[in-house]
Amino acid sequence: MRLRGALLAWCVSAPCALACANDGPPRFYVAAPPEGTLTFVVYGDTRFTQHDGVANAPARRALVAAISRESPAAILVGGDLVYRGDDPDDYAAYRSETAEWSRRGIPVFPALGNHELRGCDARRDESPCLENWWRSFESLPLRPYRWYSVALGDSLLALVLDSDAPLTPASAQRAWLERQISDADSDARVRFILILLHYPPVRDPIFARARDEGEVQRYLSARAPSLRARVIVVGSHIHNYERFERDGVTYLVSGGGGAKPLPVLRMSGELSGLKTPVNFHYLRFTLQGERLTGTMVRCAPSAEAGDAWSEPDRFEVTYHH
Amino acid sequence: MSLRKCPDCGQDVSSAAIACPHCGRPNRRSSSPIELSGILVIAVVCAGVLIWRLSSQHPGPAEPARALPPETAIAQPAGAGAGLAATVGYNRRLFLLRVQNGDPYAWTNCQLSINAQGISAGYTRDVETIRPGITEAALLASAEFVDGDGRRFDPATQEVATLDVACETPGGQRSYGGRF
Repeated sequence: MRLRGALLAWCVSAPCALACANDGPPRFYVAAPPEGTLTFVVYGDTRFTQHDGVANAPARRALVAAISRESPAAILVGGDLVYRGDDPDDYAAYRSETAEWSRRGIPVFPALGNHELRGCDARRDESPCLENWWRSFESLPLRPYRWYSVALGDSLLALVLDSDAPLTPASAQRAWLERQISDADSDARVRFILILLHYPPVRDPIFARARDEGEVQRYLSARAPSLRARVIVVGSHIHNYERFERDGVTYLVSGGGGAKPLPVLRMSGELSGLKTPVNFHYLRFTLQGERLTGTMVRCAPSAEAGDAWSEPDRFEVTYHH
Repeated sequence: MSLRKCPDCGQDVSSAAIACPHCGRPNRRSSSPIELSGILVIAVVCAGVLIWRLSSQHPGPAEPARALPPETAIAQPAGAGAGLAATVGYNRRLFLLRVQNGDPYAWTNCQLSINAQGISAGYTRDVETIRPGITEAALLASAEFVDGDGRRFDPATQEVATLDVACETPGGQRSYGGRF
């Protein structure tokens, strides 16, 4: 027990794969702070790059700086961390712009997005892109896996998926996902399951489905009502913010990390009702006992007037016995 | 099936794909008359089988239909012809229209019309340019549309039933008609 405690404490500054002894995708552990409130950040579509016209670098840097000031226990990035996955310089831009995260020892857990694979032929050889991704997160380590899990304290399990890989019922990733959810639900300590994937299963219907993300919603619609743990799904890909509720599951779109903004209509029961078309933001989650609170922290970058910060949407997910 | 470059994100897209799997851009396909007649034959056969099966079964407990939230309105293209490849939605709660250019070129000098009918132009609004790609979609408040007498469209009391878009393109003047 003391050894486990020591390992967990170490994981705060350097995440480790305690469950790596088993074959299969690793599980990383992040310890909850002693005072009992665990804060972590989720967002996506940062597009760290030197390429012009594809991202708003001042907004991206402002968000990175604000996240540093939050001193979260972990940062989860829902894909499109970089603009071109085949370009090591984009990962160099990521390391350089987030040096403060490293200095503070904040662990970063990335999901694969379509831009991590950009520049590599999906049908022939994605390995140069995957190699760049794995190498950039050598400290976790992720190689040779594309999906994995993170335990944030005892009560929240994050499942980080690769939505460019199959998620249909017979697929390897889907089998892993179902097993993780069943195991977590049978562990009385786990109160929340957060699923992070790049393509959002629920989003403004004007955007076409990208891959199998709809399968995740179909599965959760059937499974979530019988689960003890509450489920939250965070996608990115749409460069904006959206919030939905379907069959007891909270679905979020958080793709405002700096990529070129994408106007959304907020249809199909979108709950935030934001009226601002451009929404650079990150999500701050605070986990306290049986309550998980999500706050959308929005940045309106302005060179003249300084960045304006607001928190225009907030929601709670409560665990019921 | 052949591969082509997506004009939006530059990735390879199958010609058979409904949309680009990388960025979601709708994929416009041109079908030959032979392909179309083949599809029509298959559709007729499938419809026949479906009607026969439904009529031969005892009605079971119906699955509750999931109604779309009232603010959700996506336009269906009305009319035929080689027009603009537009994707149009309207949020009836926020009174916002979203017009996405699915062509590989920019549309210029556009006139958008709400509820145009016959010789009535309805409520119109000019938009200088709508560039291609999902990040370039135009987001417009329906209250910005005015009729020939200068009266603004009132989304609180009026319903957006149709949206017509007419723009200049490299191939000349083209249009799109959408019905909600």
